[in-house]
Amino acid sequence: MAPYTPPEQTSPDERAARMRAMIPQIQTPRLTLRAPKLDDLPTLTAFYRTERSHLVGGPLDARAASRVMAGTIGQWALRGYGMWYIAGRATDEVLGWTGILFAPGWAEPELGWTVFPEAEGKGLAFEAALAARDYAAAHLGIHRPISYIEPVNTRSIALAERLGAVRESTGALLGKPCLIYRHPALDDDGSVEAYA
Amino acid sequence: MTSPHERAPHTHARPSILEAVPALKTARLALRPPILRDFQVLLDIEDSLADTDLRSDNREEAWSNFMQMSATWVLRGHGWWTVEDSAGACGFVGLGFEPGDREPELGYLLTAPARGKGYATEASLAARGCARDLLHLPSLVSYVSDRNTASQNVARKLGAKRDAEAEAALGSDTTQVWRHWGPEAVR
Repeated sequence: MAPYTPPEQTSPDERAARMRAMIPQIQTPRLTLRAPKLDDLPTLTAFYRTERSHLVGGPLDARAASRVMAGTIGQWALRGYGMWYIAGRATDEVLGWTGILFAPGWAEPELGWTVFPEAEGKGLAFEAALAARDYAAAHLGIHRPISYIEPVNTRSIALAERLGAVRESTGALLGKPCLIYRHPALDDDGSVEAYA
Repeated sequence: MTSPHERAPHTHARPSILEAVPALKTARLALRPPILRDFQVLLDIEDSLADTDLRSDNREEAWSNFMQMSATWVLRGHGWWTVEDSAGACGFVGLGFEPGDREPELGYLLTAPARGKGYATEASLAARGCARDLLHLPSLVSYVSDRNTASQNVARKLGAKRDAEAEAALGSDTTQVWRHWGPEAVR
């Protein structure tokens, strides 16, 4: 007779960590792209309190910022892809987010990115968005995502162009006018297709 | 009409994170992790709540609520199930945690045709049993509007007790706190 095995004892925190571990992690030279976690909430809330968050729906109070995090996680849970939090590889401190976003109002999946002010100007957004775009091509079947960018967001426009994206049209997202950039076709290994 | 983002994922990615959610069965119901197309069930429920404060202002907010249900599992290790009867998905029951909450909340939402059948009690009992025996939640309450007599009856049937102290701490004139268990169990 098999020995008695007591019922599995898993704390809620352990269960949550196990689910988070199913969200893929990506390492770049300076960054880890990883799942959001509850410990990141104070950083997120602090960012959304500032005017600097106006390009991503802010400023927001703590409750609404927490909802934003739930939206990010919920998309991973229900679609199997989503936005990663960008963390310093050594510090694990959140610096922003990047990945594939597909929510109410979106015409198709978008490659998005946001980097907090203190992390700007170091090429970190480029490094992160490139890794996310490569992952989407290699593992998610998303080969030519769009990026919605507000016309005043010159920093993001510069990054889109550095990523090889091309301005395709203009549109509106959540009631605000925006530019629609289209990323180049990628092979599964992330290189730009020679004969796209 | 479904908008583009509500259609099934067009990629070959397999949503699998919520496979770790325990599946539960009762005499008449199955409780399973939410999937994308359950969003329509939530919209149907919200339409049926037109005159109450439970209704979302718009589709974006309803989507946000739907995301929150699933996200709670990944952030906190407990969350919401979709409830199915023999006809299919008919609502949700959950161990929720809204921003600003002090402790996990047992709650439910049912489509109009699924009400009045004792489903709320049946599904809540299963979810609560899981909260106690498998998830080991240290405390559990139900927040109920003072106008929602149906949910007050469910809480009473479940053996929950009004918690005056928690209601005072909440500072709301219209929200009742029904305690299932917790650090300061109500006598």
